[in-house]
Amino acid sequence: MNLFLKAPRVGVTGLIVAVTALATPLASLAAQTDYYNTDAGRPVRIEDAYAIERRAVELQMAPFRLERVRGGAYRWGLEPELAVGLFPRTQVEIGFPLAHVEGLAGRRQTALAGIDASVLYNLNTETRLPALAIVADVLLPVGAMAPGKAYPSFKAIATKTFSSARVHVNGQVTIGDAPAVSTGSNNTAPTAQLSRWLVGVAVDRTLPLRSLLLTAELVISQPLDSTEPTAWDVAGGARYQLSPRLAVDGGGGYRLTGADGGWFLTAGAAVSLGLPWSPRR
Amino acid sequence: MISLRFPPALVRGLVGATLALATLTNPRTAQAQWATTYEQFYLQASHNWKFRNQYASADRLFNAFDYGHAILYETLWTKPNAPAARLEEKAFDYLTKTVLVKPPRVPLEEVAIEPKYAQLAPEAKVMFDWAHLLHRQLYDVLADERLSDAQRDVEAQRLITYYQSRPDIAFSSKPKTMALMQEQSYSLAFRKRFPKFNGLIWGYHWLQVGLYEPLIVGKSPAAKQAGVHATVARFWQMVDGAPTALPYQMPMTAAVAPAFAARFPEAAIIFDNLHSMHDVISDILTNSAVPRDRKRAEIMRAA
Repeated sequence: MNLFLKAPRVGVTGLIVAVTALATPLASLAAQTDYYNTDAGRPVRIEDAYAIERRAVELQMAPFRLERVRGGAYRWGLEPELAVGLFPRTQVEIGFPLAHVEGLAGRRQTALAGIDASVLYNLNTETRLPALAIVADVLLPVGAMAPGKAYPSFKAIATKTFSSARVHVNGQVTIGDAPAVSTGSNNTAPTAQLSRWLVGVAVDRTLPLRSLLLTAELVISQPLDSTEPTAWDVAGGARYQLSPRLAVDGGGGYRLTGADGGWFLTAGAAVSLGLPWSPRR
Repeated sequence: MISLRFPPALVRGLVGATLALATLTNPRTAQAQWATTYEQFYLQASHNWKFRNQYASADRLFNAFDYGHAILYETLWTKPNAPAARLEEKAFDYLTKTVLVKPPRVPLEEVAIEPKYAQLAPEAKVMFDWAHLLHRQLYDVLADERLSDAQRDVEAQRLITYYQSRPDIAFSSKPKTMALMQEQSYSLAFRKRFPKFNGLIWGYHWLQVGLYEPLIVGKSPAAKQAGVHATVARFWQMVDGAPTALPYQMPMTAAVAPAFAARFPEAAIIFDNLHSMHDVISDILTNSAVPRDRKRAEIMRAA
């Protein structure tokens, strides 16, 4: 679940440099293959139906998204996440979206914009049938910039692998009234990017000897505010396994229609570790 | 009260797309297996990836072996009527002149190389992955110079216990009968039709167990480095002298790495069972006497 807040106008290059600087120290860590196991927002929103491995711990240190809407304003979001393969085919994930906003009279504030907790349950491994998964997600009203109430979402995922590519279909709904827009608001509440419903398809192709995955998606979504128009987004990106434990990703896209048309960029890095204790036999 | 309204066209599209994914590739979907096997992360330990760090060139060969195993199964399953030269010449040359010469930097995602085989027998694939993790983690223990011999024994036993904590995908630590490999209706089909490629696979298996020996018998880091270097050089002699220089029988751990097998007998048997299962699946996929709709059942029976 990506959250965006209106940020001060900053150079794109500067932001990319900042994100790279955040991710660079990770390169010295050791870590396991996860470039093939896609995750929402890294780099595209449509994900595959697989959980991370049982007993795996994935630290998403700097999933970053920058948007430039028509008119020239920038929005950005940064959401460190922790995912744990707690049970077989089950991934429990918690994210801490950080927001940096420019308020009235140039006042800047950085704060937690909610806590995003989710559980992905993979129903089956792909055979002739596609792999299927269900996801329950809730954005909790925790933090100075959090929404005023919890927003639960539910998602269904299907993944089918062909010899030349994989296809993923995601469908998601979010429960909850659209937040009221108060006087003086710049309409940048954390709920701004939640969708009443979202459906999308992604196609990815793997270059296995290079540990590189290329992906592209088409996403259609209806904002929580039913008076806003349906948004159509196209995006693409790549995931790359830098070391056994470190995967990096980057991508970009364009909002074809919708209230906030414009382009967006994503970048991220994830470190995979194992649970530090041994299992019971 | 919240009401959710979705455009009928959207709902139809979503349902249609999902059903299409389920049925696109094969009309026999209704008979398809509902598989729930799953992968597990390797045991987190201070010795993780030590072998990779200290013996990089040898470690990278293992990544190349993963590719060789995967492309073999994918080819056997998806191109059953291809001429033998596809594996014996084209694939063999690509593996020995390209992939092994410049092996991948990181362990490969095998399902991306063998997607159709993985869909046929995901359980068998996960069994192999799990045993390969044990392989690599034992290398890490033996390569970690901070550990004493006694500590290595403790860590190795901890790895074997962790491996056996997944009885659904762990190979037995008791020897399997040779009848499983040589006396089934499908037995020996692969080595008869693809003798050179079979020799290469046995070469892989020879090195995978053979590299344990210099790490066991080497008395110093320099001696271990020299032993690993010599063992890898012997492997290349086999490859360069193919087909006659490649192993002509399945390498057994006790014969190739006697000191390792004596010290870690359970692991040695697990690896022998793993390697014989590799051969059994190759035979099942190769032998046309096993109908395509019986391949999965035979693999599962052998597993």
